[in-house]
Amino acid sequence: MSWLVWRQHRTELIGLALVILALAVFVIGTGVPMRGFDGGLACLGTNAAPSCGGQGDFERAFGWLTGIVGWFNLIPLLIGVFIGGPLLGRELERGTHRLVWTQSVTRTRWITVRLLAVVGLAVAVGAGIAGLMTWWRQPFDLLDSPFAGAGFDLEGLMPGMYVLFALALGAAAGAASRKVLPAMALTLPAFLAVRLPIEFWLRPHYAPPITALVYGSGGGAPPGAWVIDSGLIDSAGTRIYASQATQLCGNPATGSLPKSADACLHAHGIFERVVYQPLDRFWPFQFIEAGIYTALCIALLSFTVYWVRHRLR
Amino acid sequence: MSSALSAAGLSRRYGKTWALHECSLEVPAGSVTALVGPNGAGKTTLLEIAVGILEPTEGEIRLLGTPMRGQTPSLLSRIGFVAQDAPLYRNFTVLDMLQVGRHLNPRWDDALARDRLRRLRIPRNRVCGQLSGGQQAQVALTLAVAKRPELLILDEPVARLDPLARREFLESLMEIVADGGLTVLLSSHLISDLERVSDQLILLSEGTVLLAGSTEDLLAEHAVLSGPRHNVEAVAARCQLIDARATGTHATVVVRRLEGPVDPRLTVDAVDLEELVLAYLRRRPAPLNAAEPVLVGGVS
Amino acid sequence: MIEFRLHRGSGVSTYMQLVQQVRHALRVGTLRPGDQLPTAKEVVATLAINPNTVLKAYRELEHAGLVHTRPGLGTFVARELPAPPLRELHSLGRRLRQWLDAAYAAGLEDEDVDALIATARQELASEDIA
Repeated sequence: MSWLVWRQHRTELIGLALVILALAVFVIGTGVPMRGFDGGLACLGTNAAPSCGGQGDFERAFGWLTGIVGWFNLIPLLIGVFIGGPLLGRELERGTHRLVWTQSVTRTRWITVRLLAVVGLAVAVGAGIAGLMTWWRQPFDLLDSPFAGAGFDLEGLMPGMYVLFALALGAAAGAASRKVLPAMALTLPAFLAVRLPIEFWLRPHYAPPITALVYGSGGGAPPGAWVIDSGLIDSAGTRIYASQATQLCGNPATGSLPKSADACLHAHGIFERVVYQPLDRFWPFQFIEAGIYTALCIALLSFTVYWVRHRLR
Repeated sequence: MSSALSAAGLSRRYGKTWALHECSLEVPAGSVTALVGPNGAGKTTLLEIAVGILEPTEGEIRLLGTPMRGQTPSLLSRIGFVAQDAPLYRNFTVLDMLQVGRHLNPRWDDALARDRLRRLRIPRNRVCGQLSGGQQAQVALTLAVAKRPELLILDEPVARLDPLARREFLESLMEIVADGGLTVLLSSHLISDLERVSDQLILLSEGTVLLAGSTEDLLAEHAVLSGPRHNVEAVAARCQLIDARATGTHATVVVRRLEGPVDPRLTVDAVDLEELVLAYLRRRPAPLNAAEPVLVGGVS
Repeated sequence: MIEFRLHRGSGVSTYMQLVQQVRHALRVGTLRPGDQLPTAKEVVATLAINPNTVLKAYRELEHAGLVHTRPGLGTFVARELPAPPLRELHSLGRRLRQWLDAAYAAGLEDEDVDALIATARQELASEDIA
């Protein structure tokens, strides 16, 4: 059975291996120069040695790469569409499931082996992406935060969870539609419809964020924290827009609000409010979100098993 | 004779319609049984229940003496099945397909499979999608036979084949049967496809069994009578009337269990299987019973 | 070696056609005692018929004492089929002609005669079964 699954999907799997290989080449090819830049990792982040050059140079030299790495978020989606969708869809569309189910193999075994392969693939690809990305992002995690945005999605448990979820979606869509193209077409929006709301609406609230009030502007959140919201408020708690603050304390002609204006803002009873999740919540949040995806995957895989066992012919 | 397959009250419903309703039938061990009926008669439903792809809504089915309750590997290994349109993995080579069989069946006979393909001159390294329809059907049959089944079930195996491929397929199938130890159940919407190869017939229509038995007995039990209408009526009254056609004063009927002397003015002919099947599918004894002469196929 | 052919739509069952072809071959001498009949597998491979049909025909021939089966070897012709005795043939033919004269005199036509013969045969056959 496992031989059959491999033989059926070897083209896609070899393609996937090549993508991961290209990823590794990119990661090593850019990760090594990053570590050799100026003082290396020791010169980045808040604990940088005083002898180090400006960290802005590093940002200017390598910052653009994070834009490229952001696209890696698409890998799980592509796996879901191009491997998950056809996983059951192609077999059901061409009727070959009737061939397999009537060898000396029950359909329960057929679906079990297929779904175990899905889990195995997700673990392998997830571990690969997370490993490569955690190493590659070390400098950026020091500079910025692994918690905010790309870091959270590319490190830790999340790459594996996204791959598993995308594959489970593709498999369920394939079982339900019994066709390849509808399964692929369904996987794409369904994945985004879950992935994006969870990232933007749920993730900031896994634990109540911490709110810090700072007199004057600037600073506030501890290093590595994920800043969810920041802005000026007055003593009544009403939001003060930058244009209003500039009107009050800054230079309306240039539209700037220099650091020297802090005392002025303070005098007007204006604070900077920072809402953030501290860095030490990174792993608890990873587990919570992984838990959500695990629950979704269990639901999808159970549906698929039920559907295959009782609704297909 | 024991049964390779027997069903009692077998029914399958889709929504409100019964694809199969209260079917009871037997496939004697060692027979070649033709399952015949028009499209939509429930043939595929019956065969898919037999191999466990589909579960019956009601009723029981026994295979090789074992009651079927869902699929079990041990029962599956004793049954060969070729689904309608003989599905194969289109991008697999013929040898890859044999690998599939070898990996998925405990009693796989690789030598038999390779020998069969060689004799049929099927290129082993070609992908299945590039084989002709006849060759695809033969590869699918090879896969089903090399698992060394005791019961071979084929769903419309020759429907899409041209006459030559059809003939070759049936010849090679009969060669396998001649080796013995195998029961074959195969379906077709055309009895003419299976007339020569089968020794048992099951006629299915609208989900129910219309006629079943050994083809030889069935042919012997039925006859076609034709002649003057009132003479036909007199004879038909003494036996089971299956189908009747009447034009004015002349009538032709298919009857079952014709006994006793027959009026010499009537022609009595043996039925062939195709005629018999059509008579049961039409099943219109009405024209004879009607008070008014009914014109069928006549010019008015 | 005899090669079987089938006539579709002749109304004669397949196994009976095989029996008749063997009997014919015996009568005309194409098959002689000791000759082997094709195996069931060989027959079905060229005619696409059920092997049981072939076996049934061979059983019928064996029952009539015309062939005998050596297990594992095949089916062989046991004896020649004698042509019907000449004298019987003459007297039967003479009586049939008399009967036909009577039938035509009564106004029957060829089709009526055929129908009568067919019916009589059928009655005889059904009495045999009963």
